[in-house]
Amino acid sequence: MSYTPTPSTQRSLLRHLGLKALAITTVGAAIALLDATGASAATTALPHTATPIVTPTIPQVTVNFAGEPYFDHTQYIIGVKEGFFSNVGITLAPNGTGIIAPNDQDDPIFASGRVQVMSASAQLFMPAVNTLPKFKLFAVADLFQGYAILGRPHHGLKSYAQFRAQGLSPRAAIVATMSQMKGQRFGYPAEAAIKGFIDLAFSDAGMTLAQVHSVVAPDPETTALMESGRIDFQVGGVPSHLTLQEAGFVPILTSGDLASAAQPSPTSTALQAVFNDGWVAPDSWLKGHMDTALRMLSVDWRINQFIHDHPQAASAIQTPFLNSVAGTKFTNDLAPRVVYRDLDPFLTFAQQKAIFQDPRNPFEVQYLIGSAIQLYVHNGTYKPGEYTWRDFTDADQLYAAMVQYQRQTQVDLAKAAVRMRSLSGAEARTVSSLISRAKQLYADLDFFDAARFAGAAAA
Amino acid sequence: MLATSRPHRQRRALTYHIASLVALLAFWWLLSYYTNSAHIIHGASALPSPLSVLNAIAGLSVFLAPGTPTTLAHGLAALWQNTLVSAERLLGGVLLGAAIGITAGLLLAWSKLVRLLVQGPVLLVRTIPLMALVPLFLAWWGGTSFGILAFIAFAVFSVVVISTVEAAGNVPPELVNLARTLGAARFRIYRTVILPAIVPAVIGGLRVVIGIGWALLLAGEYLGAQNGLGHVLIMAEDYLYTARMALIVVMIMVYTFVLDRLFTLAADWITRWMPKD
Repeated sequence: MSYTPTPSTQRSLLRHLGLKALAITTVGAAIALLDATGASAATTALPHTATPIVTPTIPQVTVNFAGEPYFDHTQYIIGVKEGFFSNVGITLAPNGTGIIAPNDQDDPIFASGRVQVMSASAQLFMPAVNTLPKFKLFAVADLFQGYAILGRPHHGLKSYAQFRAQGLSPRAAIVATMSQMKGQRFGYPAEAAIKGFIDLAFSDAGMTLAQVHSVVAPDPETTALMESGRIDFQVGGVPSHLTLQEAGFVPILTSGDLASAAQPSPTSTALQAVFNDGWVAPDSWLKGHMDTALRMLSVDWRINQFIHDHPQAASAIQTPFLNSVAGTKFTNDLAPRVVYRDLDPFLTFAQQKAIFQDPRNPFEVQYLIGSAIQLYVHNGTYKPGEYTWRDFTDADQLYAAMVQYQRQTQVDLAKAAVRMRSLSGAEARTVSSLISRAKQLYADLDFFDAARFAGAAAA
Repeated sequence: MLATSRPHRQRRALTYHIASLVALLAFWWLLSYYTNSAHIIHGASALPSPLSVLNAIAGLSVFLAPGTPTTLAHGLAALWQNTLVSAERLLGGVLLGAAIGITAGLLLAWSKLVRLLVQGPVLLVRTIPLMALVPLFLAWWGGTSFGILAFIAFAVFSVVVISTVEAAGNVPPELVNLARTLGAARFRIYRTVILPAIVPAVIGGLRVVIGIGWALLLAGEYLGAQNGLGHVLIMAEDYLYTARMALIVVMIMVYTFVLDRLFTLAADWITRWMPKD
């Protein structure tokens, strides 16, 4: 698939990178990031001589940041504590950790203009698109699939995943999973978003709610009813999901299961049950701070990689922080067991290729946002054709740009290695230091700065 | 009928107060026991018992710092810490709002021109539903401490300015006329007659504000507060910790009572020159 960046994003990327020419590439190359010399921002002015060698710098910047008091929006604390942000010159403000606000306060806080980057989802802001400052999701953190039908433990229930593992087709697995609920007591709240998930699950299984004994009640009540054995299945919001799963109840069908069986299409209703969390910024800020956005993107990937590689250590940082801001009582073992695995799987740099560059993947960002747009068209919030997925995200373009920087770094490091053979003395030491720094930044997934240092070493 | 002595009457009143409180607690306990045994068996019960509300204090420990052990001492420390933050915001907002409100009220009462120009909008301000302003203040101030302070100050201002204007308007005209016939100039009349005369009414207005102050504070702390009792309440609501929510409600009741008593004592001292009925 060919990614063509929007003109405004191209301009802002190029302006900040100081590039002279643009070459649109085809597969996998979204943005022409390099000029004819192959040099990057700090080095484009350099002549092609051995001297002088200009060492690029990474500026110190402060980003006004806001998170939410949930697992899928506090992982950034890992980046703060592990020094991932400071490594690329970023300090979160205020207080080094930003502010925390529940999701019902996100819109007004974002609208106030006092936050430059917010941990949120494009879908969260989409209903208010006409009143909020123009915004873009520029970094994807995780795939939220928090809605789940939970069943009682030790009752011989099988999950959708288990049916799939037995070889059933996605459709047959949904039917088999949902059939276990026939004639059983099922508790759920009247909340529209959750009701949408329930309707979808029943419709995909060819069932109706008349085939179960419905108990419509708020989450605390259905949670308690599950624990007391007075109902057999339950769906609720994330807090009740976490509470019940921590108590041993088992998810048999999640919104992620439904979505994984969906058609890869922006018109797929099953995709409305899932969405990407990540970092959202006003479009104006992104255009003026593209370099910072790229560095933040690298931090996003480092955090996700850390969670992937060291889930226990990640939880030991994130869970106490979440508890301290939300007053929750989560134990450190919960996140690796439930959150990182099922509820909000965080996506590494490598894993994100599938959501940006694989049109066969139903979770591709354009399908997830496209399906949400369809929902808002359907309920009358948007006029048909008023918005496209491109209006709400540039994350794919930034990803593609970073992939380009990654490749360029590899090329320039090879050139620098050749150059090193002809250098000696102070010059050799400087180039060697640039190469080391570039390699370190590359390892830290900051391909943007890695390319700058490698470019300086190779120039 | 035998006349009872004053101390005896006071003791009897106190006994009734305590008895009614104990009865209320017992009723609360029984009701929560019934609801828990009927429906709810885990911590997030719809109506937490008085004991679970007390136990919720220790749960506040986590607000002190990441990884703080859950103990009663830590919980009390966290409660105290958040109370101080909230009290600071409340007092700041009340003082700011009262200062602006009283000054504006006095200006309105002083000048007919100012009154003609400003009184209409001021009366309109009074009709603004404060809770409806919460999301707007959030959008304007984005969860800053100043936004919280401004919200409380605005709410206090809207009450105090009216009570001040009305108090000035209610000063008996014979007092003003008497001062005038004795040769007092306008400013002197204002300073020595009107100002002292409106003090009780202004204090009455402030007492109303103090009464609703903690409620205003909670609304204010919905403006993205990062700490304080309102913050604790909002987070508890998000995670359905009903015992913690009830604890904050009880604490607000206690603080409102204490603040009202302190304010009454201070008001009595300020108006000690006034004849008592």
